Amino acid sequence: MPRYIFGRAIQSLVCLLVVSAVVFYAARLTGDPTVLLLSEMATTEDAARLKKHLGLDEPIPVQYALFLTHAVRGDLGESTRLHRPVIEVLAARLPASLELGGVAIVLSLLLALPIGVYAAAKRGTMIDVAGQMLAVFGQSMPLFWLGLMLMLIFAVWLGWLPVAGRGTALNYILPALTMAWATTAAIMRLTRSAMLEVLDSEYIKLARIKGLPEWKVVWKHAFKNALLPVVTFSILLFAEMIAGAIVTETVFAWPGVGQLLISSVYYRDFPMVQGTVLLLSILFILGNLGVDILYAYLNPKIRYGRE
Amino acid sequence: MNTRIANTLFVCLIALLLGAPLEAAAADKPIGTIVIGLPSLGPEDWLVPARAQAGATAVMPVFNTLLERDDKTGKPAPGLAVKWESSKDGRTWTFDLRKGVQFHDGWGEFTADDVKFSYQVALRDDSTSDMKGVFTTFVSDVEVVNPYRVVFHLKSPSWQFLYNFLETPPFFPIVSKKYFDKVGWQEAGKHPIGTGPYRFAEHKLGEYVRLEAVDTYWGGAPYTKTLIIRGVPEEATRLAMLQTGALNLTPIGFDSLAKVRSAGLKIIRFERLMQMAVDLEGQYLPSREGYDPKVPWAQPDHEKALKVRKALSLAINRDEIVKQVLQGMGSVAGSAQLQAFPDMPGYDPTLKVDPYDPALAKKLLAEAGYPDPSKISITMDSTPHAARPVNGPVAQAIAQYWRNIGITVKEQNSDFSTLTELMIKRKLAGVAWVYPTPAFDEPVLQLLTITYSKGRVLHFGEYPALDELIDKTIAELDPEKRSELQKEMGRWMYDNAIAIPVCYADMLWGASRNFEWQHLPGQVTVGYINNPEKMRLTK
Repeated sequence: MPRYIFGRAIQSLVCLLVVSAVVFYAARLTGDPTVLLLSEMATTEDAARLKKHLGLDEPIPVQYALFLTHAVRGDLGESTRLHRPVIEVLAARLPASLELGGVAIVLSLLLALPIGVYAAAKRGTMIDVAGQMLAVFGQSMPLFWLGLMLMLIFAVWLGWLPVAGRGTALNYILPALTMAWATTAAIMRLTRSAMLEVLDSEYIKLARIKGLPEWKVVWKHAFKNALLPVVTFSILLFAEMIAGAIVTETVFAWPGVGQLLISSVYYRDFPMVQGTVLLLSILFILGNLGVDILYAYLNPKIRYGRE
Repeated sequence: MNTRIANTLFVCLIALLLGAPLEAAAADKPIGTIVIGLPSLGPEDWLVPARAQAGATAVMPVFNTLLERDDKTGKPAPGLAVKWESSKDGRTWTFDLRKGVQFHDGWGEFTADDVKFSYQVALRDDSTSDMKGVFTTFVSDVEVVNPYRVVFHLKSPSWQFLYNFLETPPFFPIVSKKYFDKVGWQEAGKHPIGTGPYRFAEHKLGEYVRLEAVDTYWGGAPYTKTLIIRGVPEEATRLAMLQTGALNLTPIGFDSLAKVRSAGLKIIRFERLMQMAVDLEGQYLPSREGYDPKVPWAQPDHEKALKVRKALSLAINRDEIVKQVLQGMGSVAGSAQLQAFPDMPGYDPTLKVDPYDPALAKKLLAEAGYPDPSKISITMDSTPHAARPVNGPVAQAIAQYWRNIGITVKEQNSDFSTLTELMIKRKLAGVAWVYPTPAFDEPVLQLLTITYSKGRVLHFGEYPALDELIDKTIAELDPEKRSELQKEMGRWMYDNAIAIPVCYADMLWGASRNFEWQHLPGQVTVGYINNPEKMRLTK
């Protein structure tokens, strides 16, 4: 296992290097950042001076080499728009995304697991059909529309919850529900199919023959074994939530990393785009690594490398 | 009189007299909180005046400029400068400063040293402020004569120099030298200090800025104690917040009007804040790499090109656009002159708006060599402007009017930075875009930046004859002669139809029912939060 983890760490570094190069070059293909930093009244000389100040007049390979030199020391540069160190901005915005993503994934699991288990246990019944319909709705409903509808109903009409922004615990409910909607459907479907596979196995038949109560067969024996792919999938979903919460963050004015990334792309804030994408890549890589380690821990049959 | 009654009356009188000054004091003290929702807080870097005005909107209440605007007329009025005059040759501008003005949080009195220092801040290498270009172009030196007098020495005579010190773009707020020297640039950019009606109290990155009233503000204490400016990108969310009272004021688009009205909320209009004009890209100097002689409105045959441009103008039903797209929040009358607004020097009221005449439009196209209008292909870009994002629906309506006379119109929606970059590079031939241009104090001040071949961004067209008129106008120090030159410029642009003025449009704000605001005339504001000290919530 230690050898495996070491090997994966090296792979991850290589992956990060490739991602940094791709993002670095791709960002610069979008155009000139001085266009939006300066107003229409600025002169051509102003634009040239600013470009020089930002180091954008150097050839791209030189810019990349400078970036790498600083990045290995933990310095991702300064945001050209916010004029703050990239690390500082990410440190300020990441907790909001982690909190919201955490609440959303917990909500998803609390909703999806029981529905998925019951849908599998009562296969072919109305419960199963209802669960599958929920899955279809969840995965086909546009988040933007859903978020606005939830806002309208619970905040504007009923006045039970705040409309937007980050503040008290109540502020988490609507955006977390919005994010959880699609992931609940995905987790529910996976839980159902994992449960169906397990419920068909021999040891479950044996458990029933032995006369165990059905709830024990389902929850104690089948569920535990079906849980493995669900948990690992959920970890990956969590990482995806952090990166992909742009729509929810925009609708609910949530100051997370998703909104930061979108505005950085719009304003061609290259250091911020690079830093944010690197951070999200690290989250994905850590998520994947965590999944693999968890797999090996939960399933003794799985071993990586030579022991 | 009964002694007991007399004593009671006497006590009541004393109580009344004692209570009255307390009540008066209470009435003068700022009270309450107003929450303003903006689509963005901007870069959230408050290192003014080294930052552009558009990015400093949330903190403008913290600062003053040398000149302000009169509440009723919008004309220059004393701000931190109480008197200003130009030398006869136009090469120096002398400002006499207001005495006794204090920077917030005990950072001392405002003096001429702070004006000079603010000038130096605007010139920083990383400055994105419009003032950097102004100062490098015009100023040779800033002289501190005494603590209350400062002189700007100019490289060449300039009448327009004064307009840069007003409380509208470009934005030149005055900052404290003592504060910057003590805390450094980084901290000064995170916690700005000014002399304005509000002081900077709190900032949560990506969320809000909180400002607190300065009771001793030299212009009179604000009505409201606390201003919170929130960044809320989505308009539907801002409207929902307005309905629930989470916001008291927010900018709204024309298509949100019905919703705001039905919710019983207030609508505040900044009337005639902008002129919508169709920008027919491609009218470049023939030497430009991006020039395409096949673009019908920019072809080498000037007569035919003009007929095409006139036809495109005649095909537009302006009244219907104001009624249906702007929901009545605009006007067509008097909007024939590009970049000119009523009561502005150089405004020519005799110029008439083109009528809606599709038949004549088709006739002109045929005369221009296009008997089959479908052979003309136009790409209409409905990208919203970054600061005034209301032009998209107008562009879509105009695209349809052009289709109605048989022109082939493709629609696209790129992004504002890409569009601007292509305008700078003069590589947008064949594309049309609706430009929501704001009013400047004189038309030439805007035309110099957007319709001038030596300028950076090009909106309407590059014409040597127009460049010459602009140069002549800029050099003219006499206001009356300059007004006549601007009328001549307006007439030239009208006769040559280099762009298509559509209508004036208002900027709209949705507000809570009990919100009141004595704001500046709409035309002069360019949409920023002006007169924040005169905002309040009534009972």
